[in-house]
Amino acid sequence: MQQWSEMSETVTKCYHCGTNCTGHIGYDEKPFCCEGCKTVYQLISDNGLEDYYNIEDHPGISMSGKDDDRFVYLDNEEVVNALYSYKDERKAMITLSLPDIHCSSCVWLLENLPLVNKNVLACSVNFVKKEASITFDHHHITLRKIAMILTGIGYSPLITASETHQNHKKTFSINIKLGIAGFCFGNVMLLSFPEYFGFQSFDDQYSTFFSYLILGLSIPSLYSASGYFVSAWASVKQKMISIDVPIALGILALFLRSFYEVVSQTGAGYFDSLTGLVFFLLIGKWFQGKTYDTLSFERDFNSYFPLAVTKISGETDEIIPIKEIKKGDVLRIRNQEIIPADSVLLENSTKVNYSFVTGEEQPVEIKMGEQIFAGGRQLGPPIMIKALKNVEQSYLTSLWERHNPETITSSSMLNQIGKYFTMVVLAIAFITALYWSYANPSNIWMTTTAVLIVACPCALALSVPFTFGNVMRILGNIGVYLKNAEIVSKFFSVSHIVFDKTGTLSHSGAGEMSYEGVTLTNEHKNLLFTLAGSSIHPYSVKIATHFQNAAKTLIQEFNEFPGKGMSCVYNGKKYKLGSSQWVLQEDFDHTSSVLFSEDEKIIGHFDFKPEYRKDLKAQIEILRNKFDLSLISGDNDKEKENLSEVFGEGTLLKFSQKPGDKLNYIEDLQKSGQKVMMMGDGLNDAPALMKSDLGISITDDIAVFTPSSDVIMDGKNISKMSQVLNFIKSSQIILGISILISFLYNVVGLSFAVTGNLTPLVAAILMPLSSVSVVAFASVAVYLMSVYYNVEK
Amino acid sequence: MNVIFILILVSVTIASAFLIGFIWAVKSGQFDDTYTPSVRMLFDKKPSKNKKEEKEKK
Repeated sequence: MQQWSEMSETVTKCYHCGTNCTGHIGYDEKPFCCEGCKTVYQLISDNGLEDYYNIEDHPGISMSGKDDDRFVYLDNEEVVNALYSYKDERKAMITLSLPDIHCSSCVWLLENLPLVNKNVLACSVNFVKKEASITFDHHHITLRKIAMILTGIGYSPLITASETHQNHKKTFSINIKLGIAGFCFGNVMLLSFPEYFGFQSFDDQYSTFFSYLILGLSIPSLYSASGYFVSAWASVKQKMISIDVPIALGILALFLRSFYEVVSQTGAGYFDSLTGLVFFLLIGKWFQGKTYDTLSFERDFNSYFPLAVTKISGETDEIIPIKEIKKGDVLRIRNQEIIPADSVLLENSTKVNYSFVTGEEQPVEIKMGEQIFAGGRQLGPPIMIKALKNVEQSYLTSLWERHNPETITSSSMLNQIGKYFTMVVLAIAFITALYWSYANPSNIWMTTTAVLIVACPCALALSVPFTFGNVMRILGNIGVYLKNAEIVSKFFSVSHIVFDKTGTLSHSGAGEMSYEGVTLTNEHKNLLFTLAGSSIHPYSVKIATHFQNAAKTLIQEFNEFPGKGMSCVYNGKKYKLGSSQWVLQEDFDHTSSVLFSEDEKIIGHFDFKPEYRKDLKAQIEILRNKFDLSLISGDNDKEKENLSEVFGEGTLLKFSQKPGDKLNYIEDLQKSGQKVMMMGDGLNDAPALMKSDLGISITDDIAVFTPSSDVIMDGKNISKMSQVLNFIKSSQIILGISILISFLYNVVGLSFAVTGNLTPLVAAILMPLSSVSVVAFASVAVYLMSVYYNVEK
Repeated sequence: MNVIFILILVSVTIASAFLIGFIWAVKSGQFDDTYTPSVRMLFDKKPSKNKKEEKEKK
């Protein structure tokens, strides 16, 4: 019999990446958490690059679980040629996305890549975009080798089929528009001075010269505002009124009215307000874009699918890019690989996980001759499939396109406001025209256009992006990443919070693990290492990490059942590793977490004592007062007592839930009228996260993404949960106040306009003032709230 | 006072020249990456490994 337990040592941190060392791997008198980190250290110090460690502490990236075959398709000439940004006889240049870049040490190491391999000629990093431009001698080194070197030092490249050039164009378009708008604004304001200071008694020649010059200088501003015109036109075509419609209308009215005034010499026009308006609007847009740069959630459709796939032609395997897949091609798909196109199965049977397509975590069994849809993930040994369609027409492409219309980009709440706003303004303009047609018909044109000009939703349009944008930026600094600004408003209506246990409330990496059972032979250890290493469940990871010094062995018939466990065949014997209910089909008296059996005989069991997040109890107590709480765990109820104490009376704690049960629970809550916020680790909870009104996936390693959640949060922020939620809630009030401020300006402005008193001077003061004050208020108030709630970095 | 015509025209011309310069800078990628150079200039260059890297940033 053997019984042991190990505590996570919080004392020794890996010299390379800083995670806790559970084993005893040392080199050069420094501790490392795994062989990978030790290898990277060796590579770095052998090349004389130890300065990497001097710039930041533990700058490395943890090296667990990267496999070697991922870049095989880079051997294909055609794939590789499409990726180069430049190539001649001597050298080639490529820009790779390296999502693991996170600190200045990374920049330093990567830019010194030529020292690691002399065939790399240069490497230039763009930190904000997390990209590196590598120039290399393509006769002496291949792209695949470079990708492997990069993976070896911890910066695995993300090869995507999307154009990196597209992003490039987008940023400099807004920069140029902003520059032009600023140029026009400054010059027009300067040239308008004489008029402000009341030099009405100007000689005709001066006033015409000035006004035409101002007119000329305002025309480039229209180019800068073109984005709004395009968007407004697009929304009108769709018979919808987005917030850009009144803005575009206002700009147009301003321009036409001023143009008329100058040409007919009846006035100076409102060009100063026009250029100022355009400039401030663009600043708002630019700011929003900047708040967004670091973490880009929306992965391009193409980048989720493997770039190339193995095609079987005759006797040989050939690697081809996915766009070359033709109807009738036979493809070989390995375990966990994505199905690139709708196909029919040529094997007896297989299992496919469609969680990306439908959110269903439960794998679907497919029999020979049945259709497999693109986007599913294959599970199990490699299979052969025959493509039914080319990749472009696949079912998934149309699904994706249906969900991502290019036309309307503004948030829905803003669109609501915009709709009403436009209608109200048009009504007021109409009434004004009516009134003046009786009172003084000569005034109609002037007052009506004045109404259209001054009733600007621009302040409205600015308050939302600035408030939410600031909130997103501040949250991003502490490790809470929102998918987009709209998500902030989703927080406002949450009434019920559902927690997952493992990985969410408890720290998935830490905690005690103990074993009780038959003494494990070396063979067992190798088997456990290989078997547990094939899964990404937190418990499997812990087991595999413990046995990492074992050797990988060849196992057959590997099968993993989400929420239950996994099995394989080795040396003729059948092994199972999983929950007691699944392994034994009955409850084991210890109700321990993971059982290990050989040919249905229990060898031993692993117990996990979770380490809960810091201050968990205090946080839950605060949250209980504002929200209904419940806990849904796939684990057994061993921790029920501890958790009851934390959650208190009356909170529903459900254990041994399968992914489907979690989904049903959320559905039930929603049916009873609750708005549910779910916090889970994204691995087993993907469908529940998607179903809930607001899904937060908790991760202790930010580089791991889950497409199905709205928010990705660093696990350490659970200790600040209540402050984060309060902070977000306070932004609702701030938003309300800033909308109120902009309404006030509109009321004041409209009163001037309707009574026919809207001189250019008044308009020139009111409009920029309203924009600036809304922006300033939103930014300052959000910042003050972040300090008050202690969420600033 | 007529000189103001000339003055204004000249100043607008100069301002336009700056605007064109700005547009050219944006197009040639000057503003693509505003963060990394600030980090890059703090690195030490070891005298023994002297690799003058004269690359233009895109």
